[in-house]
Amino acid sequence: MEDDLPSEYDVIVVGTGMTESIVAAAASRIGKRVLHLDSNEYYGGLWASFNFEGIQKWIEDCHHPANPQEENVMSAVANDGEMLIKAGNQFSTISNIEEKWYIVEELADYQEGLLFSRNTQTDGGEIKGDVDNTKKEEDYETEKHEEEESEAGCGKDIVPHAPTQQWSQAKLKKEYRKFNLDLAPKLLFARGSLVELLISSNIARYAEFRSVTRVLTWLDGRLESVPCSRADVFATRHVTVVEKRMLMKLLTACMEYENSSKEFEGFEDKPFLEYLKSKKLTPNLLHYVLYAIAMATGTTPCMEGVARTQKFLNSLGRYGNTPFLWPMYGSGEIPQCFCRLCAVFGGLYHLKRAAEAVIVSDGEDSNLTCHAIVSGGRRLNTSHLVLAVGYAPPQFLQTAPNGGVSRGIFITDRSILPADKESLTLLQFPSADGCGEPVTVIEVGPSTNACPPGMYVVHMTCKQKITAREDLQTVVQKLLHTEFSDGAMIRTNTDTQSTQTASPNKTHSEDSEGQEGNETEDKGKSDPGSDLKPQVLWSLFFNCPETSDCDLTANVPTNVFLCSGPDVDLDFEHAVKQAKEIFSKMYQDSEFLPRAPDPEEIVLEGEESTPGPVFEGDSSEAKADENKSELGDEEEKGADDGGAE
Amino acid sequence: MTNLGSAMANRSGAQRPNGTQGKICQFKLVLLGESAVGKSSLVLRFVKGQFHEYQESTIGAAFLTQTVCLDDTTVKFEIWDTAGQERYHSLAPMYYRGAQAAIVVYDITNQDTFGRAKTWVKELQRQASPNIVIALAGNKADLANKRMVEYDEARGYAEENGLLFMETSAKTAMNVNDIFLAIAKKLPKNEQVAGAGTSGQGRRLVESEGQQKAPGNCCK
Repeated sequence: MEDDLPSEYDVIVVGTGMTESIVAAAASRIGKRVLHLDSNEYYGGLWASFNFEGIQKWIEDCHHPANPQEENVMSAVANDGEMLIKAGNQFSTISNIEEKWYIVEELADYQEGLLFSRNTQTDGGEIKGDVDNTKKEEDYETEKHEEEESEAGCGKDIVPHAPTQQWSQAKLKKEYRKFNLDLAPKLLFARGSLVELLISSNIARYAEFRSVTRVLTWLDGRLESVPCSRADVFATRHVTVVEKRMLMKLLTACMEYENSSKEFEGFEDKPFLEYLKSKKLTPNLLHYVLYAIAMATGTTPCMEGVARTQKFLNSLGRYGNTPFLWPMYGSGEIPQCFCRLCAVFGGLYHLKRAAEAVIVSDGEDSNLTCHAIVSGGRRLNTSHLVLAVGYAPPQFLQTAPNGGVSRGIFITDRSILPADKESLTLLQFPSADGCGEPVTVIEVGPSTNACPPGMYVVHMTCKQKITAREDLQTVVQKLLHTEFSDGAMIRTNTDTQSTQTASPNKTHSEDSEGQEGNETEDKGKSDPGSDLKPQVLWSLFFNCPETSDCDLTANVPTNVFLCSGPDVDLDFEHAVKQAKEIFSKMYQDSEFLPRAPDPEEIVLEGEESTPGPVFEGDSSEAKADENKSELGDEEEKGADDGGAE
Repeated sequence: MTNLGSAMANRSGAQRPNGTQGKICQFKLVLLGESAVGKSSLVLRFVKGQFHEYQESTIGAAFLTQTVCLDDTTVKFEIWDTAGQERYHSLAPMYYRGAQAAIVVYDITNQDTFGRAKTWVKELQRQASPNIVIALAGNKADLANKRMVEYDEARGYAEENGLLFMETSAKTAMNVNDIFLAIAKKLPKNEQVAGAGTSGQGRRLVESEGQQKAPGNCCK
């Protein structure tokens, strides 16, 4: 192992997940000596995004976890009065992994050009663990042929709702680089704490985003577009003028609830649902507000529902049509952006390097302090240790995490609700009784670099009850076609889809009256409808531990800080909050991620510097004077505005 | 020694080329290469016209911009330095995202760095956009008496792999502007005018976008 790492640090951070990366950046930004390690060869830990090859390797690694090596030398690096605690790995264990293909390994030659498919094997649509598929060696015999095919395919996909490609496993694998599949897909609220932090710290320049284009909900057995902005509400045809007024009044009340406490009098202890019912909203509107805007359930307390509604509304109108942003190349980019800032300010990065043990003072349990870690058999001293909970020694946690997150990733051949343009969709799928936890569905397409043209990626996330597959089964069956397909051609009849547009002012307008009366589940779901569901080409289910509500402070040495893994929430808010808390415990009086200078502001030593305003909090440790700030902003802005179109 | 060619390096970084000059293209350019081959020095020479013999790993400045004027087009490079993440082979994939150009740097006095440069080229071919323009720079050409990598060997390799190639010296400024200019010439100018290293796809987040609710909280 290359071993010229310095041995003294202010902060050692182990794990490159979201919280760890923010803390690392914040410490480095104020001039602290930071070492950032990850035992994996990739960034992000359980927050990572992978291309298709990467996720296959990740699955394999989950099945065959590397055994932490025994280091004989370890005891040698501890001094008298110190003890060694071995690092753990049990809080990042992935379970219930089920990977499955729904398409043939390779297309027969005649299928490449012909628009019919053999009616051969199906496996009954039963989703079962089929991990062995991954082990099959890729066969490149037909590679040359497919190359031609994929070129032709690109041209065909200009119309996003007309999937005409036949996919085989080999063909999909060949496009592996064009995938970015997220272990923990997360959206950003346009005015959420992460967006504000990215902008205020100037880390935003490392990342690009796309706006979520629509919010869908599942109502009366079908997908519906939720009017989420004022304009949407007024453009929607299937609510009457009276209803529109009711809705606007309600949303206004939620926005101003601090000033209008009377509005919610008597509902403080009651569910939000009861408040909504008291407003005599029609069932449709009530459904929109409760499940899609507040993203609540039938049992969510009133004031929480109000706060959630407010959060949604607050983020409207900043970027695009919905309150949400999605990171280009996937959620796994965001931790990397913070890591880059850390590196830019001098933080050292070493992937594929673990912390085998933590060296703590040998004393009263309540007053333990961490002195160092052991990494690669070497002692690395540090004043603070920030540790992903996955690496935490078991004794650092009072109780093992008991919750989990159920995840499903599906590569499909079309959108769950095709529209004129490629959509980026959020759908909170309500539980069957309306009171249980919803399933969060995020659908991303090629324009986010989630997948090659002609495909979509559907992410499903919910709290774990049984296994990921069982927890998500209902929603999978409602939204996706999971029969085995030997070519996907036979199901394709694109013309019928164009009636199902997602635009709120056109959606099902002719059906709207019908829905208000209690339409049955089967309405509009004659079999052409189910045929239009996206064909799943590949799926992956897994469970990962949910550690965000564990007590991560009870049993740790005073200068050790544990960071939880991905939570079930839609956004990154928890990680940002946790990172801020950890930073303020380490460096109480320091500013958290002050703005980094723009390139135009950087004047290097020895250069004649034009005097200009100097930013507070950006002192000598940055080794960069800052001036020309306004100019820098203008330039950035000029470029950005253009790029946003 | 400085050979500006037809390039006019805009050293102040403060002047905006005015709109009447023609179109402005912005490109993300990433630097790659072993530690201490002179990546940062090349950029400093190009952007600031400076050279420091004992340049420390650049802190806080791993992101610079410089413009090159090319006929009727102004090419603005957004130059990304590795910020040291290459040292333990830990460069993040986000570094390559949307990069339209790359300079892979080696040190002509160190054969190992040439070997590593080849690895970086492979890495780019694996990770970066297929259309990326790659230039190979044999830096420290002022130390020709300690040369360990032959010019013809490197040029041959570059030709085989479709790379631009020059030997450069950040110290004497030899070929520094030229290599950026050569890249600028090779980059497609018609794609998008406001790339900002975004490959024209996603949006960057800026404070001013949309109606503001809270007062701007940057620069606090």
